[in-house]
Amino acid sequence: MLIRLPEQLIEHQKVCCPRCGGELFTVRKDPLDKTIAYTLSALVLLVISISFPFMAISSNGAGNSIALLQAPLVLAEDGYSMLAFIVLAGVILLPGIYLILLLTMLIPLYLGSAEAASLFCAKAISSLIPWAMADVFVLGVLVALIKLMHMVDIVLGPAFWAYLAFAFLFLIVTNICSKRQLWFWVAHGK
Amino acid sequence: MVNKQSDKDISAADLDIASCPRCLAITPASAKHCRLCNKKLHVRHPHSIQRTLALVFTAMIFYVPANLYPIMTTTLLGYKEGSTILGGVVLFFQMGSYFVASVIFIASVIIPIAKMMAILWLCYSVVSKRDIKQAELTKLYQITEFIGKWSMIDVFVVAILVALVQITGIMAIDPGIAATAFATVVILTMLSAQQFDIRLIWDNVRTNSKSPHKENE
Repeated sequence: MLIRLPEQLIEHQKVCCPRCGGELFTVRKDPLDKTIAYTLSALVLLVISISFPFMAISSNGAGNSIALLQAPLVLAEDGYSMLAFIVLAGVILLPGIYLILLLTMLIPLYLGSAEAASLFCAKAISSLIPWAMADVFVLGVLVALIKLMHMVDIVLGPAFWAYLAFAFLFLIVTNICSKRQLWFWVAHGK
Repeated sequence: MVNKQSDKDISAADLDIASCPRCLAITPASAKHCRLCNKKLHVRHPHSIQRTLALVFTAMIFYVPANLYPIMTTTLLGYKEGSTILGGVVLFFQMGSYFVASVIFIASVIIPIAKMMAILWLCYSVVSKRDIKQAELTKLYQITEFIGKWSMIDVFVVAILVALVQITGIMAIDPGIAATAFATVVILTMLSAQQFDIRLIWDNVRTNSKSPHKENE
């Protein structure tokens, strides 16, 4: 359905479709500053979570410690390359690429470049966003933890906490950068 | 705040305007490409229902091996045991971990089935063109799209367990063929939901004499 937007938009105002009631967008305060801040912190946390030990288990003196990247690596060694790819892409690659693209798109805007945001980045972001699964992975890890708790001792590494925080920030960023917000930056600049 | 400005139901299609599915910009329907993001433009996605159904049927086929074969194999002191998705749920229930049992049951059994049923129901509603509840169906579609990726939980659980539990000589967990099949089901249902054009639901509004919206006004 085609509608005309209200002429004046106030902060924190929510604009909804008059026919189905679905939310079109929410007017936010400083979306650009917030997105850049959260994106930078999320990227740092992602780097931490792939460079430190993620989790370790021990049982009767024998044990095993893994880094985040080992989850897809072990799957690939077992011959499940498709699963390995899904895990690698959904958990690390796509969220990481998303954040980097967002930065390359928004930093010129923030610095006051007269041009609108990059079309290429916006296109790439639109197609990869449904496949980024940081939040789903966190829940998966929690379920795996509860599964193992009865059998072995578990030590959570720094990368686990970093990834937890990363997933939270990622959720905030994707929430601010809705489809409409993203393409608003492309169409109208700042 | 709700914007109550329009008193008429005007569809963009009536005015020969097409909205871009990617960037939401509106462009005259005579143009071949979106003016903002240059995506190929259609007033409605062509063959939306066929594509959606093809993908959802493929997903249903993959759902059979995903449930019959073991999703992972546990080796404990040389003794091998495979566990299916449902077997895992039953095991946790018997162990008393009701929370884990219900998370896995909801994510791996209820969500995929509900998703496939929802997509079939949406397609049926569009094709049958009966008096349908547009607002509810739209909500159903939004939920279907939102919960799509959450079924991947089980795949991630297997990935973590496989990587973590490799204590040489005592215990090892290996992935099973059902994990691949299940991941395929999730990806196919996600693609299927993306192919469905929700605007088809609303095309029936003005052809129906008893549309719920008009009664309200």
